Amino acid sequence: MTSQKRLITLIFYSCNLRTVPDIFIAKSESEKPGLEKPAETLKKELDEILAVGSRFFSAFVPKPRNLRFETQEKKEKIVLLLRRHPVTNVPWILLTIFLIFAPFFIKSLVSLDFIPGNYQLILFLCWYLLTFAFAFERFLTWFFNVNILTDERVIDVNFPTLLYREITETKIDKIQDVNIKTGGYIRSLFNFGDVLIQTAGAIPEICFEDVPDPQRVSQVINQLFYEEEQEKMEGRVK
Amino acid sequence: MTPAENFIKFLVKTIPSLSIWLPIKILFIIGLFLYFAFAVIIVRQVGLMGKTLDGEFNLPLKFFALVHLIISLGVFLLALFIL
Repeated sequence: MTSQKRLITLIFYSCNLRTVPDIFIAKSESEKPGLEKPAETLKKELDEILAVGSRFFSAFVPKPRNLRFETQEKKEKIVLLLRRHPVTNVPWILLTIFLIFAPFFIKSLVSLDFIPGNYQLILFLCWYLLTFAFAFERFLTWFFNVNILTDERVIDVNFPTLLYREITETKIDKIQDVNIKTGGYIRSLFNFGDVLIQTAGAIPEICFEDVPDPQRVSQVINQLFYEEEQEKMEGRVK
Repeated sequence: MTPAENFIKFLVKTIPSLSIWLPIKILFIIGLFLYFAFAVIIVRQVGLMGKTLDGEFNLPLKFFALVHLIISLGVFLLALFIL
């Protein structure tokens, strides 16, 4: 293309740009959905989502009382505490029941008379100690592997092995995307699944595994995000 | 009689008097000692978990962990005495 032609094209476009109508006008921050609502309305909506609650010894605990976590700040409030759905405990509970009755089955099938009485007693006690340790360890893993939503942060506490813990956290305003993953016969039947939270922080993704009512969890996260944005706009950021 | 022959004679005399349950007893005692160490770790673990998430249910869990520790020590001592 010659320089003369380029100049003509440039003049043509610059003239046209003045007359071309706007196809899309981006909304201002205050016009975005959710953000125009006052803080009180947002809080009411959040309370409505969390209306159906349950006790502390559960998998979906809105606003738990008398509960604190290690890195909690003074003014920080826990909005929601999540654990894996209780149905995920069924396999180990069934195995524990089997282990409790197994010595009686074995005794009825095989004669243990060749083992002296004192050895039988110790063997019996060892069996039940191991059964208790197995069940207790599984319960502890379920009870303390929690996901916490506060008014400021999202926290994932994991205890993968003995004496090892992993705490992942991100600020609410760093959340970029929330995905829900459900599927399969049992998950659909009992309404539980994974909630994947993508963040703009150092940890790209936080996963809440097998949490009850993932749809509601996602709504809570969105609501907290809107509240945080509202706080930023009003200059109330903590 | 050579010393080697003496030693063999000693073994032939001693081995039949040894019980087949002796190695099993040793295994039981070692196993129960290791189990006691594991019970101590569980108590520490419950403490660590309770520190991370401090709630109403932590006290009964600590109690269970301690009872488990005491029972495991009891079984270890029982095995030492009755086996």
